[in-house]
Amino acid sequence: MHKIIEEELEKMCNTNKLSKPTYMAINKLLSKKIDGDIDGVNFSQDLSRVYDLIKEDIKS
Amino acid sequence: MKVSIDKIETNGLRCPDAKIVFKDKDSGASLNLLQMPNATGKTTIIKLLGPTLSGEIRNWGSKMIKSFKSREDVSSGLFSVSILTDINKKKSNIQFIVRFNFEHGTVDFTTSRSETSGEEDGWLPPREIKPYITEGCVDVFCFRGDKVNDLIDSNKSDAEETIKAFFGITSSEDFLQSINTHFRATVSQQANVNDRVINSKSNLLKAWEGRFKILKSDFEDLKNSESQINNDLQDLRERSGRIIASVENGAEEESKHASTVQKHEERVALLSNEYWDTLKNPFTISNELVADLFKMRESLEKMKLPGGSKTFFDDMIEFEENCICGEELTEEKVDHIKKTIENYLGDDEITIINQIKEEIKISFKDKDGEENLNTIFSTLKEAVSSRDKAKIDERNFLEGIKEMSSEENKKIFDEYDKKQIEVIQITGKINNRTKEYKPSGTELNNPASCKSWKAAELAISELSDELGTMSDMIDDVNAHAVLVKIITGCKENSLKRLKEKVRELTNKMILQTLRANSGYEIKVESFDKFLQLGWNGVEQSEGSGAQNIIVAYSFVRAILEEATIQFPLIVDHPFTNVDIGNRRDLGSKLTTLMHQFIGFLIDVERPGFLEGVEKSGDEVRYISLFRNNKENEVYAKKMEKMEQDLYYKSDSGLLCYDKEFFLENSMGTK
Repeated sequence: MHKIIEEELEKMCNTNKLSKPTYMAINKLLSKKIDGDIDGVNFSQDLSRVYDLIKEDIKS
Repeated sequence: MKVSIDKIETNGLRCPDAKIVFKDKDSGASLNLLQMPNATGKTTIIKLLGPTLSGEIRNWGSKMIKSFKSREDVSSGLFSVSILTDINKKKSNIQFIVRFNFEHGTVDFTTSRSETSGEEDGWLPPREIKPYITEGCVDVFCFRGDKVNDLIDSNKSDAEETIKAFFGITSSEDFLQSINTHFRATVSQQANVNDRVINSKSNLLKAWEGRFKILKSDFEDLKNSESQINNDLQDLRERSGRIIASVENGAEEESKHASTVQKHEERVALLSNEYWDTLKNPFTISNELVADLFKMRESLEKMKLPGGSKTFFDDMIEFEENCICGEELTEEKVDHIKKTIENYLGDDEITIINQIKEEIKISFKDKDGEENLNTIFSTLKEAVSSRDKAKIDERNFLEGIKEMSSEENKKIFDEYDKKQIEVIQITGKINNRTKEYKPSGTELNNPASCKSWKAAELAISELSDELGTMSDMIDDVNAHAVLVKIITGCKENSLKRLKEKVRELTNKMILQTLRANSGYEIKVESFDKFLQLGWNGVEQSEGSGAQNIIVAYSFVRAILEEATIQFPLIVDHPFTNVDIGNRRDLGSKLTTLMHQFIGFLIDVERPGFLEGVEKSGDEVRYISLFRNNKENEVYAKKMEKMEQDLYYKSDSGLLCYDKEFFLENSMGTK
């Protein structure tokens, strides 16, 4: 992933008050998508994990 | 990270059977020039190269695959591309092999990941280069000469699409698409359907999902057909172009007509926009209206509006103990004041009225709006009729050439016209399928009436959100909304920054290539959808042929530099629209631009360019490829006298790497 995308992703996560682990999980998933390194099943699992993390951040 | 094209092998296709070996800076020649006589299959090689590198060829339909069959009676064919990669100082030779089955119209795709390893099924590039050789990315470094103009065309967004493809913005858009699909599926599966309203909403959502699938699949089919039609159109354009060029001054006249039509088109577009902007100002509708409004303004001025009086008295009642007359503010007095000031104007109203007065004053100053509007309209009408006349002149010129042509060539012109109509029709259908709006009212309850997959998708998103909120999934809806917001924001902000970065780098590269103080100065002034050219703040719709090419090559180099990756630049017709002086200049610089440049050269590009290239000495690989037939016997005999490593001979093709042979025998497409 290009560093500009990485920086902008971090900024957006901070603005929306998401935690570092959530940012890292989104970053990892987006990286995999950009590099074409993910299949349907893994994507669904990783995405569900991201949603859980976001839900926790919203609650806290 | 570095990638070079090492070898292309063809067999049983519309081009001669051959093994073409290229060089790069490391092997001693960064510039590879390939010339092929008319109808030898240059287009075939170019059309197969990109889709093989990107693996996209695996998705081709049978009609497309069969169209590459050799004229000989063959049932199979082969096209392979070997690339050399240097990733973290580890060098590899990777080969992508496509085997054609012309009987069934299918292809088998295999990859050999090193010189010693065997073939494996599928498209298996190294992980590091995979994101850069997708369909959109390959077009960046492997393009036809006409792509140059697409980058600076204000009606196209090729430049922006290139950035999106190369830096992962397109993948981010796919990512958004995927998370939306995942979310919709989750809501459909998990929403509690015991409630009648939820149940009905859920059924409607399912109906929209079905409609979306139909529309999306239809859209994909249309896109495939569009690609096929565009390929056919390109072929027919080239073929009719060759017929026109065979007539004395034909090519020059055609280009003159095309450029006149384009200039008139641009003027019509400019005046239409100006007219539309003027029309949007309501005061231009009637001068009488403006005059009456000015009278109203004068009346307002005379009324001496009680500026801020309501606010003043409101404050007095709220914060003061005594009235302005000095007497105590009793409850009775406060009530009286409140009633009296009810009709007074407050600060906000006064500001609005003053703004209205100011607007009226400005409009009165420009009160000839109606006349202006009429003048622009008359000018626009004249521009439209001049454009139509230019189009008729162009049509008459082409009809004249057609009349002089053989029956076979007349058919090419007719087919070209038909294809142009097909393009318009299919573009219309695709536009319908991609209209972006949120279905509402009756349409929302009737998915079958929707014709756009994008609208269907928006309906699905809205219904999913509603359904999620109505059931027990509010947390999921909120989390999804946050994720969509983050990815959308990240994508938009990154794209903006990347475009600015590439614009700056492109301008740096342009300065490296243009002759100093040559009067040819140009730069990319701004970059939204396309590259807006200009100089010193003055915008221009295009540069000269040479300037446009320098901008395009600089743009590609800037992208590759920003991505910290070195790719070859493979260009068909690299210098068609460049004058001799600039061709010489560009020719002398090509070896310094990229670590590998492969140019498919045609005859008209040789003068000037080859003289410039000559200055690069041994850094150039000269390649001639032609059919092994009676017509070319004389060339075959010349070749056979050379050292064996300078030529390659197959049943259908002759390939020669000799510089003198290349320079002596001009055989590119005219």
